[in-house]
Amino acid sequence: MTDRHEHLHTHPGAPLPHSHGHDHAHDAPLTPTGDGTIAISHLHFRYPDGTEALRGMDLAITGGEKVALLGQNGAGKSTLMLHLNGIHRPTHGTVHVAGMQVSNETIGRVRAEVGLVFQDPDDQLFSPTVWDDVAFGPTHMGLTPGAIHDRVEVALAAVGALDLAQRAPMRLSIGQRKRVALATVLAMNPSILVFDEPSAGLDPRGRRELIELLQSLTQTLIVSTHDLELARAAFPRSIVVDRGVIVADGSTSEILGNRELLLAHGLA
Amino acid sequence: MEPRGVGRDARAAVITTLAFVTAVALLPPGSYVALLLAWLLVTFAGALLGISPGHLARRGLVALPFVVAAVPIVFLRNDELLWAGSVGPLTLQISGAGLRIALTALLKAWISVQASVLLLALASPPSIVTALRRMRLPDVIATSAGLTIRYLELLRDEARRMLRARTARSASPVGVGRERIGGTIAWRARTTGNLVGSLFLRAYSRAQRIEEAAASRGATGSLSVGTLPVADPRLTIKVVGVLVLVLVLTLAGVLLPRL
Amino acid sequence: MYPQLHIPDGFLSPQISLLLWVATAVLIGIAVRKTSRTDVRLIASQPILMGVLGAFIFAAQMFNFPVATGTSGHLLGGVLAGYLLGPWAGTIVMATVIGIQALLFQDGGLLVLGANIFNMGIIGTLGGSFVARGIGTALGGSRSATILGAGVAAWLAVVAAAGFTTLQLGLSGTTNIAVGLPAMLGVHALIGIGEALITVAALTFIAQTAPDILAGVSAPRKASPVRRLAIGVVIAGGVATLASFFASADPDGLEAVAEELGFLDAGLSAPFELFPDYTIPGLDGTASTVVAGLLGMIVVIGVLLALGRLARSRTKS
Ligand SMILES: Nc1ncnc2c1ncn2[C@@H]1O[C@H](COP(=O)(O)OP(=O)(O)OP(=O)(O)O)[C@@H](O)[C@H]1O
Ligand SMILES: [Mg+2]
Repeated sequence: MTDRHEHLHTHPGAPLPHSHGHDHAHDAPLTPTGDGTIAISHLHFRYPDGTEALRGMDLAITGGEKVALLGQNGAGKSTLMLHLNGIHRPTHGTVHVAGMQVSNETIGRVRAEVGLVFQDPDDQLFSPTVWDDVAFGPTHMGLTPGAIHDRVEVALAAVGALDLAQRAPMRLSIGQRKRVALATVLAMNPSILVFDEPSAGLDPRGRRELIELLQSLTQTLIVSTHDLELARAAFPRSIVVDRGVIVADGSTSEILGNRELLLAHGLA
Repeated sequence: MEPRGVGRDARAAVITTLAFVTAVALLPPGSYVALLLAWLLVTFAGALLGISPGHLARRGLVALPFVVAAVPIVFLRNDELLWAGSVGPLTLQISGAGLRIALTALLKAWISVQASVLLLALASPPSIVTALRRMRLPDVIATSAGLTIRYLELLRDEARRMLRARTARSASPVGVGRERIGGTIAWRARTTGNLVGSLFLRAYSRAQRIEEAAASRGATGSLSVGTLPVADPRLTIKVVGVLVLVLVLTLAGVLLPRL
Repeated sequence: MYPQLHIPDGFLSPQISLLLWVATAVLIGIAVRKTSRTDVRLIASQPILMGVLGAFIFAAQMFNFPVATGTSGHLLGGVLAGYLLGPWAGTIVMATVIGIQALLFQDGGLLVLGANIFNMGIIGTLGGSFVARGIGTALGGSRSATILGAGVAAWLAVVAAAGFTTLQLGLSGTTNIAVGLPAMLGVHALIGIGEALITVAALTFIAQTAPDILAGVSAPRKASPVRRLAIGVVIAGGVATLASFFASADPDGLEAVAEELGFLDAGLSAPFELFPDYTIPGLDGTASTVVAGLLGMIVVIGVLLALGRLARSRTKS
């Protein structure tokens, strides 16, 4: 996928290849509209069965920041991420993304601002072809066919999956599926990208390519991972979550250098 | 009453529930007192099993929306008119007989649902299947039902996660805050069909894996449904008791006042 | 907009319920014989596939698509199951699903389970699947033809199931057929479109993504032009008959049947008429109604309180 990385650097707003001659004057495909900020205060969340998954979180992330979310199994990483897209709503507290409080009034825009990639790509991909799947988000947003075409092409190129466009997602390898899943949200042109364990199940080369991809993205990036090397390579800032609270928040090198902290929270 | 368990013979519980529901169905319209008696029986049995009457009553409400089906007779029957008049341009009438039928149906539904909630408290789903198998339910159906029950939650969970991922990508056009439905109806239906197709392929490959696992453990032909639990030695007595109960309820329908 | 096809207990008369139990039992019995004799075309063990696909149909019924704000399209899945497993095995799977819905989720009643299986499993799945096959063959028997046939059949299956449901309710005296039938058919004609669209899309998806799985099942069959024509004529005739039956629906005639069954009902419940004018002694009709109502409420509240305590003490111990 390295040879296609040029496209990545078109984020945001760089001129697009006009190879298809579509008119997309009223839609600038890869320009995020929001400022990419996240502000969470006093976030509590209880699942219907009574599990207290989040127990008071405060967090501020500025536009374009790259943050790794660390924490042992069941710490609350996925639950937190599902709040950023409005899938879960706080039991107490508030979540703001790109300057909007997540609520029924803003949910349509929140989903456009925050691209959420789930842990299991099989949940995310459901179309007969990769192309159709990547086109889902832009189509739902009501873009013109020309704009949809451009967005799909740019997003697939960004993850190096243009050659998979006509394949069936279900018939791809895990690594290929993960890349396509990333493309499905890149095509929606969000200002915030949220990935749940993107490196799980990747072979060494796939992982290296993922790291390069993450490094090249300019959007705000929040990635949960058990892969400390990935965190070190691509994320200047790290947050450690344990039992529903944030127990450490700082530079990745400091946090990964603090062996006691890592041991205390099941990370080493 | 015995607690639920897989290894129990659940025939008595199944027979009781079916007999009770039948007895309730036999009650004529307007037998509210007999229905009250039936409800008391269910609620009392529920309390003995540690289920609060309020909880049971709420569960019973699932059948409520179906009462729409009985709305026409309330307004269209011509007997025992309670009221007739005009509302705006419409001339309307309310039939007492129709109202009685609708209300009776609703109460019967409400009580019957509570009875089947109790059945679940008494017997686990697999033990109900086993009981039905003992009562001559064909093996193909029993095997298929057993597996359906076993994989139900798993596949519903997969479906839920797929729906969630679709929701996460269902954004509104730039500038629109509230949720907005996107695409054409046909496109949305096709997307839903794609989800159904994806789930089918996942279910199909799961079936293949189960098959391979069964084969590798040396299973041949149809999957064994498991051995039958020890037959309930007091089944006859219990069934006789149930029949007495049903008779009492039916007699109550005959003898108690109706409105 | 969920299809209103799962009848709860209490809405059908016991006679109709038992009659449909018998009809359902006979047809399911035939299905069981047919499936145990079918050569296993899919994978080695058909019961495993049937069981897992039962769970699949269950879960697939959760998928919806928004039609307009507040309404959404859903899948019932009868014709889909019939296409994927063959009409007979598909019918058994749907019957199992409907049975489990009644037992585990109280979606549809127990005494009326025979009727619900009859409407959605026998009419909706068995009938629907044969119509689908017929249309598919008549259209040339290619894969896309059979899928199109399944779409048309899916629509018909939902509408026909709604029609049968209403007829049974009408014959039980719980609805007015003249009003209920057009209403139910109208609503389900719309719901059926969703069913058809989802069925076609799902089958197209499977045919595109995993043609190997579909290869064994519902294999496109080549039929001679004459046979195709014959099948087409038969189906068209059947649909036309059904349509005209529902359209003209001779409501008076149906109403008359219902009334007759009503008399039958009254006849059977003659013992219930022993004390037709029972009132509380010393009170006139209206007052005794009111008093009875109040007494009833007091008993209900008292029981709720007392049994609530009993339940709590039981849970603790
Ligand atoms: N649907 C649910 N219902 C109830 N509890 C849940 C649900 N999903 C998660 N939980 C619970 O919430 C807590 C946080 O779970 P979460 O999935 O957010 O953890 P995580 O940090 O993502 O873990 P992992 O590294 O294993 O993915 C856990 O205790 C988990 O058991
Ligand atoms: Mg997680």
